[in-house]
Amino acid sequence: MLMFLLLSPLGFAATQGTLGGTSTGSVLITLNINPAIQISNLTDIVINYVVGVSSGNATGFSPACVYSNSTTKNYSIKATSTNASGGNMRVSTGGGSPSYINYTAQWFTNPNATGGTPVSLTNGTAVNISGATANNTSPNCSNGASNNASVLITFLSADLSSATQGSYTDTLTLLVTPI
Amino acid sequence: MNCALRFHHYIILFLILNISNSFALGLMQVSSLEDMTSSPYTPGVSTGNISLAQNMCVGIINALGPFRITFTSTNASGSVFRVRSVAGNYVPYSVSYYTATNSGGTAYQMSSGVESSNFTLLSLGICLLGDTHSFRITFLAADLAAATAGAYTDTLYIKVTAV
Repeated sequence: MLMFLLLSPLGFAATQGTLGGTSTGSVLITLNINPAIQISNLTDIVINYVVGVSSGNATGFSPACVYSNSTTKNYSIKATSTNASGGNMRVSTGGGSPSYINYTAQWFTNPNATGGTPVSLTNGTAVNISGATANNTSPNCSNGASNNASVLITFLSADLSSATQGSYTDTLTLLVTPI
Repeated sequence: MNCALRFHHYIILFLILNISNSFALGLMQVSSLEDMTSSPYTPGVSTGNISLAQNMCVGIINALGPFRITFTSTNASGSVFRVRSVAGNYVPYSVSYYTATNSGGTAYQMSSGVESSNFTLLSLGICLLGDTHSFRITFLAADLAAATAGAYTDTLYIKVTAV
């Protein structure tokens, strides 16, 4: 076997066997895998707050799956609020004279938005997440893998107490980029 | 009338002809091989396995005996076929050998560097009538999703042996 390996042409193209007691040809196989990163498994966040009954800040979170097939698995994340004002993320009542409430967002490298060292997100600014935290085996963290990140939303009680009643919404867009 | 004693002389010639084993078994040739390149695969966008197939010709002259076939991957790990990236990452793949063209006939799962059992050629010739067999390589979706981005290559050797 070693002989035919040594005697075979080293070119990067198919070779045809010659006539003999044994005959060996070869083909070059090429597989191209594009760089890919994906954030998925996000869920909507709904917070019900009643002034005078609810106390403290109001929080809610969404789990996330971040997949990357880069060598390092590191990524950056950028959060963008549809109703932002400068660097402040905001929910809005919408309509002709909308009211707003500011909120903050933090990124966790676990699915439960607890513990660890969360990274504060500033509207429209990408933040590098250090460490090999992206899933690199399953784009949707399926097949036995679990979510590996989460985003926590916080409304300060002071802002909530001073807000007019109503339904406030915002679309928070999360962009992940391999680094 | 003279009677002549006639002697018959016999000369025995020993003729030794060496016939090589390969000649006795038949001369074989594998040909009609082409390189195989996958479409770019994007995890999360592309779905399913990647499968590439091609026909080939296994020809034989002088005999119509059985033959064996061996597929050998340059980047194999043991008997596992693998492609390799410049960065030194690997993706395994499988090879199926078919006894007819277009992935027809009977399929046999191959192992890198492991010779097959005997197969029978049904006709003589060195591929003047076209291809005779085929093989297919397959990359599993799970292996592709777990692979680092990049270009991977492998040289796959196909050896046929008259037996």
